[in-house]
Amino acid sequence: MEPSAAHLSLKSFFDPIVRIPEEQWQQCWPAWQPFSAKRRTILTAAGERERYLYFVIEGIQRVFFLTDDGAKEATLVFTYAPSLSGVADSFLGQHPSHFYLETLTPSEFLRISHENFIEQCLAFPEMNRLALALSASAFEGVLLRQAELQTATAEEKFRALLTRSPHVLNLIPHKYLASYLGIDPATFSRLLGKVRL
Amino acid sequence: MPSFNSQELIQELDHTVRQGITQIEELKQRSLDALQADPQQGKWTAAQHLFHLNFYASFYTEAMEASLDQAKSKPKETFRSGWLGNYFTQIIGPAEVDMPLKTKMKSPDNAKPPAGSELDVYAQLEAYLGFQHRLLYLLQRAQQVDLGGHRVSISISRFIRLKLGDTFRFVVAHQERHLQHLERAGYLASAITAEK
Repeated sequence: MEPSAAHLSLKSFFDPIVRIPEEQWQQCWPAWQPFSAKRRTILTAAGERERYLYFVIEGIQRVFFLTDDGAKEATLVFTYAPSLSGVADSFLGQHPSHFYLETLTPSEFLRISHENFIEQCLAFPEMNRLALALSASAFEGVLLRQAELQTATAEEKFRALLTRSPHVLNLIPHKYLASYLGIDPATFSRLLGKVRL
Repeated sequence: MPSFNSQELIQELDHTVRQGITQIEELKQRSLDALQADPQQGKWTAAQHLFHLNFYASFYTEAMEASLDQAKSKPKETFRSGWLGNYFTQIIGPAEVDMPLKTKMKSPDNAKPPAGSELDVYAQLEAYLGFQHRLLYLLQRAQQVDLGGHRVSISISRFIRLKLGDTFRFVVAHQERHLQHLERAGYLASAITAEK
């Protein structure tokens, strides 16, 4: 069997992080299976274990939190190609997820089950190094965002988001973007009218 | 009509949905041959049951979410079931030990699945899981509203509307009935409800 175009982009996504030797990759890539979901599909529910690590080929997804009493929702992460997706902490720890993972648009992925992922980490030192590097980078992202949320003003956060990922404005409902920035939806539309990028 | 402590009812439904998810996850691990095994003459295959459940899940999760999005009520401690909602839940639910003879039902034409061989059983399983996850999300949100204060139309008539709390009960009971069919047909090993 030959790797698909999606598998090739997965490899090019990994290469700058850790280069998996070709003969090992031959044994690893088939465990990454194609998977597709319609828009607004909840792939992982709070309380369930995250069973997969996803690599996004197409579409936008969000990870969100809903308070125990169901009263308040917060959008925490958006993912889109080329990047990994999934509820990372639940995937790594196999504890019940605190979060929901939902597709916002029709989505295509490659995904690997936790069992297969761990098996590959145990079999191949390079895969293990890759897993650590990916975890470190996810951790870095979370802490940087925490720092931004605590230090930046609404306008700074708004500017930073639209400089980093301008395309999200047309693809993601603004209420989710506002929630992601931790600002009021009304403030968000005000900034939309006011801020020139 | 029976009444329920709203919080307990939601917890119970949540629990039932999660048990169903565990069973479907087990089913996903089975080989294509096992999943496509012919059931008894005239009975549905696993893929056909799932297609049928997905048809309803798609309709009701959307209708219930729309109802929750518009709801401005406050939660009430007690939910009193409506007579029609309770009746539907009773007849559509799984067979019980003390009441083994349930009404035999026929599916409306639009909810009838195509031939089992035309369906991708794994895709049906994944779609079903997606709807179960959304049900869990909706149940969590339902804690914030009066389960008796909003109504949701049923799939065959927009003039017949059940209380939101009954719609949840009805949808979950209908799924349980079909998971019981899957057990009896030998697709599912473990029992969720007591067997006769």
